[in-house]
Amino acid sequence: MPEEAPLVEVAHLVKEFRRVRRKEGRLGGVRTLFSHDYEQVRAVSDVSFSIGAGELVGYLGPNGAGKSTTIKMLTGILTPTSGRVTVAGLDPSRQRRANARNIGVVFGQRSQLWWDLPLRESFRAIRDLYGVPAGTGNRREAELVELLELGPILDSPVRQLSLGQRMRGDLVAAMLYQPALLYLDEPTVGLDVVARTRIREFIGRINVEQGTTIVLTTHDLEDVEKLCRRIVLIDHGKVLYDGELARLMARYAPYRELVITLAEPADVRIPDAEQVERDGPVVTVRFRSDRVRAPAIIAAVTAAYDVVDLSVVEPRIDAVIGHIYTQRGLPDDEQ
Amino acid sequence: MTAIRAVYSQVRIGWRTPWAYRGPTLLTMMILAAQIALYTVVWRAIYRGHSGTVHGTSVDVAVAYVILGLTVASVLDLWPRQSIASRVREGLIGVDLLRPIGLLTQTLATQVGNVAANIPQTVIGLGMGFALGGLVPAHGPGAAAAFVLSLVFAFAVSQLITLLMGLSSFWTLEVGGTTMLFGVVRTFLSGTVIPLWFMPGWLRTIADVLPFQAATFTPLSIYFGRPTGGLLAALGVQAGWVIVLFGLCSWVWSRAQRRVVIQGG
Repeated sequence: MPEEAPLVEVAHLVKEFRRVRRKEGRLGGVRTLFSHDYEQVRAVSDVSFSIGAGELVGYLGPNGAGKSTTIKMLTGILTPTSGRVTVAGLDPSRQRRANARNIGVVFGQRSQLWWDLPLRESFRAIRDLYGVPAGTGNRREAELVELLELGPILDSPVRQLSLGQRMRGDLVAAMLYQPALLYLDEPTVGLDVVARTRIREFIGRINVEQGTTIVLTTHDLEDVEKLCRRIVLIDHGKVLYDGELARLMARYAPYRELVITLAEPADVRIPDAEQVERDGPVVTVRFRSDRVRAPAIIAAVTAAYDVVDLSVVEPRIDAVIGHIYTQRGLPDDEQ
Repeated sequence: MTAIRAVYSQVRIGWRTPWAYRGPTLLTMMILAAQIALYTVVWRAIYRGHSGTVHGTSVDVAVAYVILGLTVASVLDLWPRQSIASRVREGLIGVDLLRPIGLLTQTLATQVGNVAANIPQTVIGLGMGFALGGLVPAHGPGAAAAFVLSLVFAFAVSQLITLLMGLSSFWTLEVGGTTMLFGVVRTFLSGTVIPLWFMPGWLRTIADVLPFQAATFTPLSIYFGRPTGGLLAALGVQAGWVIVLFGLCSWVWSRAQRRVVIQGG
């Protein structure tokens, strides 16, 4: 944990929206238009967390959990109903433009690039908007363009770029003025494997090499697994879990599996592990990784059986997170 | 300096964007040339066999007026940039709000760039007018100088009208054709094709109390030596509209913005 004050501090954050209650029946649509019958919707309810400089945090939750609403309040484009947000010492919604200089935002679903103009023009405009000095700007742009391999398409209008190219363009745009904090809202949504990997590598790299603090919102749990040490999990506008990803996995997915291919089909019976599946010569056993170590199990199996092949299967993060989403809460500890 | 650079970046965006669409830009130029030719033919036909003036206007002035009117309007009268309502719907308002300069500044700067990109239209308009023998000199050197000053005000008024139109769409919603209707009203009441002095009293009154005439009719009336209420009054009304429209835009935007940031659109 960093010693200095956290870069982002969120305390008891609440956001309520007022929605017009829809009228049913004849001319319902028209009557809704003139209705003064409102209902309160609580999108974010008492959320608190803090993020230190240099962290890369996954901000996760199912659709409608309140992720985007939180991010909008962190960037200052939504005003909290109550609670406090501080980003680099500023109150984003009151000091939105000053805050804008400290942050970069990349939305997977929309672009900040200028649609009709060559990509190069967007980069130039961003540098001018944020007052990046010419020398620094040229160097940084050249570095970023090379890192994300955008050189060949700099002169193409943004509207002609593929989704992956556009996404990389947006990442460069957000990093040109070197913001201390980068919000990435589903940066890999809709991308193919190659594009996804490339963007993931880039995110990891700027976090490590430039020390950029990153808040990542995504539904792609591979992103999370590859990038985030810490996650904040929310649902129904409340924080369900805030801490290391590894700890969550150890706690809620305590079992690891060992897949054994035997020379002769047989049931596997060894201490500290139980057989969960048998398909011909292929047997799957599971064991609690917090109580017994994998090499001990492997040694026991190879000592007792004629083994052709072995592999240890890591617990799957999407199984854990998926379970939490469907339970709408953390599962009870399995002791 | 930093602020100027930031604003200029948006002027540049506005300047470059129309050039990304060469087809429509060339088409606009052809439409301008055709309109000038047609109105010239019609005015000359109306005045044929009628040697004097109508409402104090000779055939030469009527023709020169429509040439200048269409040219000025083709440079200054932009369609509103993507309206705020549609930016909110597409979630792009967030992108606008996260820029280090305000939305009104961004939009106005882009419009200034668009107007600059339209300047070549004057070559088409005046060239066509010249080819048809329809141009006449200003009423005098004073009128010419005042015309230039009045054009500057007209530029400001026209940009603020376009901006206000885009902003107010937040409430008026974009029922199909509203923008078209706005375009027709604007062209007519600004006196782009028909000088206000041809209009019957009641219609003239409507045109006089609305800002549109300050964007085209005023500079032209100065050019032809017939400013309403005298030169100073005409320029004063323009300046007044700049202030009023600017105030209206700021007010409308502050209301719209409050709703966006509190209600999330």
